[in-house]
Amino acid sequence: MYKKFNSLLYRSLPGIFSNFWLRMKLTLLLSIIALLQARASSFAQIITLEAQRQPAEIVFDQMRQQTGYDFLCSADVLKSMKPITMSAKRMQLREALTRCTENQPVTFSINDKNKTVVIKKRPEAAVSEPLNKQFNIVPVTGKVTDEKGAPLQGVSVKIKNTTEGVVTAQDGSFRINVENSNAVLIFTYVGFDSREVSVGNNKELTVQLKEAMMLLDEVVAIGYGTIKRRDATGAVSSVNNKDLIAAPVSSPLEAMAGRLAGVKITVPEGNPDAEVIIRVRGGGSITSDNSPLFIVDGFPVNSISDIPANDIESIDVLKDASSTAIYGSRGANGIVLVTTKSGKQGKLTASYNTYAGFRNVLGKMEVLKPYDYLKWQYELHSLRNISSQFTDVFGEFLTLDQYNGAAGADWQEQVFGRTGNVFNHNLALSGGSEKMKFNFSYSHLKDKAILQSSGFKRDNLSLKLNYDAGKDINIDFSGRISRTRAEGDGLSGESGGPDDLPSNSFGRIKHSVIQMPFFIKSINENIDQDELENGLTDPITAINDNYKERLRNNYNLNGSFSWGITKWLKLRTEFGLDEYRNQLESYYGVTTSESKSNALPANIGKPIVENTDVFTRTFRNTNTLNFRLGHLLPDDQSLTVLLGQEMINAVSDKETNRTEGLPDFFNAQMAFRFLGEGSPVQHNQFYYPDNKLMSFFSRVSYDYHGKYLFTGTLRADGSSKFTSGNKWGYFPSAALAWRISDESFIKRDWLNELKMRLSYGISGNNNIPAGQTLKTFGVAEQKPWLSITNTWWTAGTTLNNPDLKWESTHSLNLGIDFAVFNRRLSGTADVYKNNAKDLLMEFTIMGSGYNTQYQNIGETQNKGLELSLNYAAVKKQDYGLDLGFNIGFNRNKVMNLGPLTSGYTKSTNWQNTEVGADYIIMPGQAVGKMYGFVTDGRYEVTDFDGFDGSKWILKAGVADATEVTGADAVRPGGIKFRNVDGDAAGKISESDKTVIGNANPLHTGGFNIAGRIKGFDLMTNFTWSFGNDIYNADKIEFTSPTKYQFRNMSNIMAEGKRWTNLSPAGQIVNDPAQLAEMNKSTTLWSPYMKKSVFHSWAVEDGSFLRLATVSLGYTLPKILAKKIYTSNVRLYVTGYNLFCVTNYTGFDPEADTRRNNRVTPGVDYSAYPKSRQFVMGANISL
Amino acid sequence: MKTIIYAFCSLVLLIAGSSCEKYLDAPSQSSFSDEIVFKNEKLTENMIFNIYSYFAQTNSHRGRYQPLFGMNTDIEIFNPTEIDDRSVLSTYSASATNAQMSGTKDPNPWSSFYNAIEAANICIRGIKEYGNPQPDNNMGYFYAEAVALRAVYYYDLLRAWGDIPARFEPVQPSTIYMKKSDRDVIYKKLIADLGEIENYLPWPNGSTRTSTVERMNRAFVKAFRARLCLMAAGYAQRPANLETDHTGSVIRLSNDPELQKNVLYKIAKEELEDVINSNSCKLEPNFVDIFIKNCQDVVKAGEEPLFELPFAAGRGRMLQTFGVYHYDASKYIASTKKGGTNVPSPTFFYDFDPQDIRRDITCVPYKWQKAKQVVNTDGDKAGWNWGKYRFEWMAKVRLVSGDDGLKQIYMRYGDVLLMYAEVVNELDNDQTTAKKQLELIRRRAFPQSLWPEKVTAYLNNLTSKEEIFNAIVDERAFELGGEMLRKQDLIRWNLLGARLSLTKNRMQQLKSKSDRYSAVPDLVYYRLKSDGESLEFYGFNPGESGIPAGGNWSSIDWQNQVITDKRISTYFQNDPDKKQFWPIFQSDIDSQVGYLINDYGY
Repeated sequence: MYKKFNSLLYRSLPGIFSNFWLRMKLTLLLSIIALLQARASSFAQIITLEAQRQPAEIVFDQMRQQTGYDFLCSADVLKSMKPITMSAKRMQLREALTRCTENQPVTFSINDKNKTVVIKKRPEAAVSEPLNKQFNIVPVTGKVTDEKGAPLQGVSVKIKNTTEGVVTAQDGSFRINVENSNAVLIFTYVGFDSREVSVGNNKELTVQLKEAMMLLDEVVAIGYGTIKRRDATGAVSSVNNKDLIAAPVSSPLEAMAGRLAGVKITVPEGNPDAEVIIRVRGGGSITSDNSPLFIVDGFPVNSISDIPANDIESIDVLKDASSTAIYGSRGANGIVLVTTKSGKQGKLTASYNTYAGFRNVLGKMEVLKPYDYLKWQYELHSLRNISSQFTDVFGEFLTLDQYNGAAGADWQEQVFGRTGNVFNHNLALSGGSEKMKFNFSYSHLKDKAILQSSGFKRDNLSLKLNYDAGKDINIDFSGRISRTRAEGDGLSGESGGPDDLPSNSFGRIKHSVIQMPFFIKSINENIDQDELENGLTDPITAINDNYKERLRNNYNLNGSFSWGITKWLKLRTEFGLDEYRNQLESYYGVTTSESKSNALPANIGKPIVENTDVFTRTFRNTNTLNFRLGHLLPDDQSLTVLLGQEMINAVSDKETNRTEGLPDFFNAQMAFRFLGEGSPVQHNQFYYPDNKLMSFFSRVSYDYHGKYLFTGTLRADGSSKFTSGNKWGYFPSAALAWRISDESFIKRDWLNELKMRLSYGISGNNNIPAGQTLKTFGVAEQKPWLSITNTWWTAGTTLNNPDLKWESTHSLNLGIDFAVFNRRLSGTADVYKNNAKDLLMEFTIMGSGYNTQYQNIGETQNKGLELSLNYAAVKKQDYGLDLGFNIGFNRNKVMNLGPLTSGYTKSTNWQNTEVGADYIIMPGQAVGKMYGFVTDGRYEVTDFDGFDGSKWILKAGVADATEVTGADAVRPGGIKFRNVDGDAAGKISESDKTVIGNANPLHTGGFNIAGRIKGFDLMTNFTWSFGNDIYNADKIEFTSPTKYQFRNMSNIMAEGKRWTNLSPAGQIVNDPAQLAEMNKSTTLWSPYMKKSVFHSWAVEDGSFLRLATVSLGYTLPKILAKKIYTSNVRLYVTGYNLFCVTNYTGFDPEADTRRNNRVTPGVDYSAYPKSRQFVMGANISL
Repeated sequence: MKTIIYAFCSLVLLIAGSSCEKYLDAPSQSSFSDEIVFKNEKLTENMIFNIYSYFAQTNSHRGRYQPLFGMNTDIEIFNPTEIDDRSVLSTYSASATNAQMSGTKDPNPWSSFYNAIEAANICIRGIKEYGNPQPDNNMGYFYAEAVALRAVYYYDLLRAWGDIPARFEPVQPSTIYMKKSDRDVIYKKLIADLGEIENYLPWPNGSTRTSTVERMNRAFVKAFRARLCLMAAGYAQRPANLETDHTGSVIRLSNDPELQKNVLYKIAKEELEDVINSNSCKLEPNFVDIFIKNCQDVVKAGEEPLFELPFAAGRGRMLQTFGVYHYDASKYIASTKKGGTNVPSPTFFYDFDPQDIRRDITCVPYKWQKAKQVVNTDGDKAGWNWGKYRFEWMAKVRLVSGDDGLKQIYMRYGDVLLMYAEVVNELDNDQTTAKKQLELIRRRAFPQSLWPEKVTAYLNNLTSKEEIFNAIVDERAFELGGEMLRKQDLIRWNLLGARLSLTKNRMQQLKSKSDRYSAVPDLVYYRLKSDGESLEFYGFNPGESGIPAGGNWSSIDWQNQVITDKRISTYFQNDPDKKQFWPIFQSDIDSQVGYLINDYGY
């Protein structure tokens, strides 16, 4: 009987399975409990019952009635069961059965498809072998490949309705034992559609997996967990490893450029260690940093630029408050979640990626030819009445024609014209057993930049271990070490301390443009010291005398422990430690003003070395409880609850040293190595207040029918940056999503996915230096200023504010995700409105006794629209074409500025205080409004009544720029500005400044094209920005001598274009008719003016379309790869920065060089030039 | 397995168990509270140094106030005639938006001085609360030093801006923004404060700290209190109504009964007498030595200076702006184009008695180029230079490109005597005592052989209070020209506008050698002396007409070339009496969000 039952049970064919059961229960079973029932779909697998020593058959009958499931059981099995005592309230069927079969000699299995439960005798260990035989255990082997036949390693192979499973080996093979040929195997693999295969009589399976067409089934990180994209309710954009390594870059941020809607990546300068600016949906804060929060494997870090792209599995950017609120306090500017690669079960695999290439500068600035230069200089000196200073150096005017046709030195070529090169390689080892998985990676990057002396090196080591300790306990460990070394002129001077502001790399590029076309040593005696320091020192000497070296060391260790306490409750505990050290050594040679002016008198004119050493240690502990509470709800609903607690403590200190008086023949290398030759004049160690954060958070996710999704989060953050009463900030959010495509009334064949998302939430910001609430006293920065002491103590120039509280961003987001035509076309659209309130602003309070104070003042708004589209245009075995497109519109607006009702102006100070205010921040306007004079052509002869012998007399009513450009420049040919304030006298003054530019683009975005034919693949990535203005400060500097002498100019001001006042005989002409005749074909004004002036001519359209990368690859056929003992080999060439379509006349339209003010974006001043780069590389897997 | 679970659980409990609030306390580490600081003498003194440090802040005295305040007067001018953000500060035509004074990057003088005042306020409150200041202990000295330094910064604020906010307590949230206070309130507070603390301070050389003139001492503070009294009791431009009328103004004395001459001059007299009787400072026997010693960084107490701004050797820009111009590097300076920005007015030389020793020390008609003196009458640095400040006198060759380390003499004994003369003449009509002071000053100014004529006879000619006053007005110019005191003197005497108009006329006359200058020769002759570097001149003094004897002379129409039309037209561009003060600059108005308003129609 028993045997027969079993044989029947396991030999039936699936097709007749249910009918067979209807018959069997009448003939073969005793105590038949199941009856034919109308199986209303309203039955759920939820059990509520009370049993006090009830016989099993009664209990099973109740369950049957409640669930509509049939119960199958032989009489002797039923007899062997002890009476059952249990209590269940809205309990999942599986759970209830587990309870009532506890300590019973039986096991059960549930077949959801057939709505049946089978109760059978628990196999004894001793008899398991014969039982296996009876059960006809079948070994199945097979191989899993992708559509192209390439083996897939790490594919999970599971027997349906069981927990048993294996993972494919490196060659895609697997081996698994099934109980009979009815078994169904489920194959799942990240990035591929899952597939179910019936075993049948096949003992040897070949399974092809199709690459997933659409991202909707991909898993996205959402903070303290992951979620399937189809279930996501927030706005999340992602980049995966494939995109990151397709065209290798040193910083993963660069690879994100143009790929994510609403995420603007700017590389403001071309230096190898350049800061990459990332803005998610604009920026809410005005004076604070608007960078997003970076989280690497759960750990908050300052920057991700030191992580090699190879090591990254995926980057997810959380954009709306429903996604960011789980990070509460620090989520206001968006969150960048980086997940690094983990090991995969299987045989040890190794992959080796390498590339090498070269780079050259994108473009140079044309300057005046020597003869033109000399004529202009003579005119300048004559106008200033100091022509003898010119003739002292270059001789009389009439002798200058000897320079006609002479070529000048190409200083730019000497300074940044060299060919740089780059080399990178990366070795990754991965593998592991079912219990233990690991991933190890080593990377090395070396970059010789185009600027003399400038270079970059980086080494990374990482190790990730995952240990499955059994009983639902997992232990993970990851460690990352990075060491970065950047050197040369062209490094920023940031110390890396917690209160440090970003700065541009350096300001000496301009020297190679304004340098005289030929270098005369004797000039040193004749030229003003300031002049030399401001650009006329021999450029190569200047570079060598401003040498810097930066060394960054970062250790990051993470350990975690997760424990499935019950089926529905999981505990996860994470510990992390991050140590970060940033050392900067700066050398100031004898030609620098630091050495000439700022040294102690005894050390004047000798080299100086300055060191800063910032050390930060961050410790983190996070504990989360994850409840899966679906079993408490009806069958078609699910509920998960996350409860968590987190604690972060960052400790920092900064050491600064200054050594002066080194021997004057020491170059930078000697100075660094023999520092003892000098005398230490400053030494300080500063310990920052600890930055602590204590948080409690919770997330509730609920879905109904998989169609209606709800996520709610709440986080409470306590920060040590605020005083008690203001320490805690509470950040709630709620999000709803509706999968419209699952509604029967909307279901269409062509519509694969349509989801609408709506979210609202609050996230916070405490992005201010720690220690702002208390007044304390400490050592002021040591300065050799007073004769009575070298050090003093101070309460600082920033007033404490005990009332500081959290800044909060209220954000509303409405989004749509869709996929149509068999998922060939998919996309996402979002509209949002973010209002940042109680802005933490560093408020200027000069005149009170302090310069600034942090205050909660003002409100800003960012509104925008984002759209991204992906189209799989061609998808065939041997060829394919994918197109991606994204665009983001963002409107920034200052809603209010507290007491500053009419706003305030800001100076970028690129030319010290000469230019004065050049940005304005006003309620009702965006941050980034440029503020200056309106260019109104030039003074023509007709604007004057005449020349009175000493000066030109302006006609009444003509705007008079004397105050701005100088009395001598108000003459025919002088630049003219518009009298904006309309004062009757026509005087051009500060009040004629107005808004003349806007650094905010109308939209930014990118599109990429990926194609493949057989083994070849081609990937291109375009990025663009449209409608933003650039403040071309270079243009101002390069087209006027301002207050200086002997400077060269850009050929914008070449002879024939500029107005000239100099007759061919070398006389300044003051005859109106002659002047007009001489200049009838010139178009521009005379460069002559007394200082740098910001006017609308220097505001240029910064729109651009850049072909950022093109990568062409070839993957060797498998057979060939095998022959060289590899499993996969791809060779590729990549070009970067191949072209940039723009009307911008400066070096590069992406410049943003006055970053320390934070409210002055889009200034292009002496930026490190960008380069065009080509690399060749190989990806090799063993 | 259990082991692992237990280990993790206990670790979590251990960490989570500590109290949240306590965990979130993060005291700053490299800093102390005021209680710790002001109970400790060393730390307190370090806080006092902080007050001094604001003299040397980038755009405080060092970068802006010293180079740009105090001109133009009848005897002192800002040399560059180009109308720009620097020159307008001297030509009575500055606007609030002046870019030189925008305080965005480095605080301008206004903000720096208030920063210094806040630093002093913190010290004063802290020492009072924790330090037990007594006249005879160190804490008492520091306390008095803070009070006195605060008064110094207020004095510089009052000179430049008139009515200003009164901040005498550390800033509270409610006092971040503050309206202007009537300057009389501040005068009374300062004068009372100084009276209270002066006895806490040792005389010069009365202690180690007062053995140099770089820190506060009793003689300086007393003399300085007298200077404040003279200022408070004098004329000045005042708003027609501080609350309601921001355009109109009047020039008047204070209406406050406590700020009348009879009250304040009495205080001043006592203070000056104390200083004179203390014998803690003295007249330097040779006038020129005051400045040679200054350039050579002699800071010993007990000599002519009472207090000097304590700039370190590489900080300060006095020489760079006031010094004799050096066009290029030489054995005296390893830098180029330094000095010659602030210079004597073209007529000042002719105000002197030709035999006054001080004339040729104060006004020099040359610059340095190619290692020798040259005459420069065109370009921006044309004309006279202050001979009181010379790179040539410095102890060491200065390689600096900017800062020179000259310590500005803030008060010297000559000033004390002249103030005393003025006070006794005005208050008591004590002509004898007044003349006695003038005698001391003039004896130093003339060779002994000329004393009968230039000292005795000169003084005997002064018979009325008014004549003595006028003599003092002149004598202060001859004695203190180029020492940044003249503008305030003219204002308190209500002579600013009149004197400047007069000087403008005289420039015209001198240019055309007419009227009182008709005896000035047309040409100036100059040639190099045998030392190969210095020049000798012929033709500056009236009557030096004709061609001088000997060879190698060059000649130049000095007056006509130096006194350009532009020089005359840009000498002052508004009625100085309507613009006696600078506007409060825009960055300061902006950062005080509506609390500050510019008066005088700025």
